Amino acid sequence: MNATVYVWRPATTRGRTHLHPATMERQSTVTGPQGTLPGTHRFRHLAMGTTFEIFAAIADGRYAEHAAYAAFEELDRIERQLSRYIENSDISRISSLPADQALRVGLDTFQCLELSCDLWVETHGAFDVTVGSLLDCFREHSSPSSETLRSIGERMGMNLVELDPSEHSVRLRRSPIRIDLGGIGKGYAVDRMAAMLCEWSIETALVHAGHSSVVALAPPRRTKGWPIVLKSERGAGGTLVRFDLQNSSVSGSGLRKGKHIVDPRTGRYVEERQAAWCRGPNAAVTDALSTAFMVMSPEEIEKYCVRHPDIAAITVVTQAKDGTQTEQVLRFGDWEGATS
Amino acid sequence: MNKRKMQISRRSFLTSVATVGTGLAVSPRVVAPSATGKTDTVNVAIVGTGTQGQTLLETCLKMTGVRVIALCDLWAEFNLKRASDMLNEYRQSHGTYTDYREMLDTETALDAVIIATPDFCHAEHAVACLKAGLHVYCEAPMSNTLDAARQMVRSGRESGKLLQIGHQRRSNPKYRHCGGALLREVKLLGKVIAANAQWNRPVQPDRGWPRRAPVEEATLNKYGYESMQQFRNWQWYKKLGSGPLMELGSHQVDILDWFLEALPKSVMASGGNDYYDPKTHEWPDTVMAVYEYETKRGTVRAFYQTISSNSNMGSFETFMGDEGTMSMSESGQCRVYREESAPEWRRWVKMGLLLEPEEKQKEEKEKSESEPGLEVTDTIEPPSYRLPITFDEPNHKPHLENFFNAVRGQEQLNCPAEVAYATFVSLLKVNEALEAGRKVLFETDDFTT
Repeated sequence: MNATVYVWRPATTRGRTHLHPATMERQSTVTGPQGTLPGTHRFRHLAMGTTFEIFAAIADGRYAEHAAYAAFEELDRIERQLSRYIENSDISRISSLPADQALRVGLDTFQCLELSCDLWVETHGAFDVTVGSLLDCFREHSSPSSETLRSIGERMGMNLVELDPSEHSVRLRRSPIRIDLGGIGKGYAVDRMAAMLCEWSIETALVHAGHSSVVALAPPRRTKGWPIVLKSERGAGGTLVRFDLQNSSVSGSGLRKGKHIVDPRTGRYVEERQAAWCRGPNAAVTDALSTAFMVMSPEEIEKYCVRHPDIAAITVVTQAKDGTQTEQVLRFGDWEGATS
Repeated sequence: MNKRKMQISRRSFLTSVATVGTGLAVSPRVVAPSATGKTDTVNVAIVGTGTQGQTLLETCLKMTGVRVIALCDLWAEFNLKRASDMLNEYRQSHGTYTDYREMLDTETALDAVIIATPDFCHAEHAVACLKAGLHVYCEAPMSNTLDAARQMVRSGRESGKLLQIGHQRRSNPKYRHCGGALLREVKLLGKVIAANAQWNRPVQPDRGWPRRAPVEEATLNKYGYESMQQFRNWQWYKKLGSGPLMELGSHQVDILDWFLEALPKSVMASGGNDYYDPKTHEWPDTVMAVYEYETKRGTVRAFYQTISSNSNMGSFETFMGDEGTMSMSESGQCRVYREESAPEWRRWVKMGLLLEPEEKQKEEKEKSESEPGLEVTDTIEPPSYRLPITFDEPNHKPHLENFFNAVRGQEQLNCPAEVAYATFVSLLKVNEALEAGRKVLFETDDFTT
């Protein structure tokens, strides 16, 4: 049998979980389940430049390990399709695709692009995976000229990416277009991992991608859900909201890694927005929307959440006033049951 | 758990956006005419739809002119279902089978079969398909016994059909450039002295199975397995698989034979079950072997190692000559380094065989020609040359394409069974050397079938 390259690393922290109480998390981080959860097993795996974790509440630890391994294999498989840093991933292949030439891609890539396309339309361009060239440009120049930005802007926008569902093929109307699924790929992977756990009949579980996208399945016994806390670096105590998550997802996006969010609509870094979180039905959607909510105006986010009752959001906006910076926390959508 | 509410299935999350969204009417998604022009379509079945079979299926789905019309796996509830679900997503109608004989009886439109079953049944499946008049692409290693591998070669020959073995590096443009243009044609490395190849993998747990979907015991027994444990971890059992040495080495020892244009004369080896429980891991988990080759240009000694409990340096193949070193890996970059005493390589750059080294690494000679005076900078690393080949296809795609083009009568196979058989023999000899505890010689007729 042919071998694939294994990037699996052993789950060194596996075993009974006695989690520490939540420590001070930096902003835009969704703190994982807290407190002691007897009978919960925890597994870790490095992929997509971060640490993915699975918490599985099931008595049989060996069975949980087998299921986690299957989920991590699924993650590695998805990374090989979606990563722009792997030279023969679908995304790399799209980057070197000439204009007007169709390229067949894998199911995961196609579905991520379809969802990205829908969200690009729904967010009026605030979520845009064709942002790769712009991100590359900002990596090389701290303040690119407006001429450079204009030229890059001409190769951005999902209107330049044709998706043909009958062939699962991608065709670019201009080239090169650099796709970066950084704002959706981890969420998608977490969803697929959770689906794999369900296939293994593990239904009381939580999966997260480096704390930034979380899927919670059924709640642990005698609880209302997996405890989640959203924190801001500033403000009183830092905690913005606590809630229990079950059968849904939450994702965070923010400036923890420095200036890393660029508004695809303007080609400029986001400065006044500190963090954004999105709660919704699955992690691919919340991952993408938490990225979009970093650049959308409060009015736009409000409209979005009204139109989509299954989406809720929190953003932290900083404003400079009379020489001091103030922080404003804005909530959108339904946060009933959440506490501060 | 309310799975519907969770909405994590592939379809449902798209639907969840689509149904609540407002913008689909102006979505730039299109339903374009067929992505690419039709070529001579090859109808294919995949027998064995586990991890590797699914990888090959995904790769086929990225190709044109290939249609997977049947799938076969005895694990209907899981392997077969996953592969079938994927084909359904691509809206490709197909038959599903748990027994290959039923598939061969039913699917009359097949041209070729891809076999990705456990090693011990490769021969049975390949021979049956060849006898049914079908071309076969079979995963490596060919088998787990010499007799069965020999039977495959003979059957291929007698049937007049194609039998390609899945040593996919044989079709990889990076490897073809290194072995062909660089090593054989311009002898870039001078006289090749030694080679060093390895595939090291980290500790892996046993594979389990979803408890809702085990294969029934009677079915397992019918197909040669005693338990689900054996079925899921067949690679490690002597009667089912051929162990890491054969599984991984078949790809890499093949590169040694291919690049050195020779077959080994002798081998000595050390190895054993050093890490895993020998009750569940019958094949050695750690093996080190030293081959001796007599090539047209002299003796070459080659070291091959596979470790299943540490992933240091992953997998690579390196060739060392008196004028340079070439190091390559399927999943990474290929690099070439010049020995200090070797003639300069600018001519090969000019001929387009190598890319210029990075700016800072340009050869000293070149720098001194441009202007007088010693430039003082931060430390300059010795030059490493990259290849003028970009390979951005899925790893198995060129090899499958070669097979399908051969089926269409447009190409010769890059790894026909006879070629793979030689590698198979080279590796079986390692097991013999391990048992004998001494150097073992190859006889010329070892490689003939």
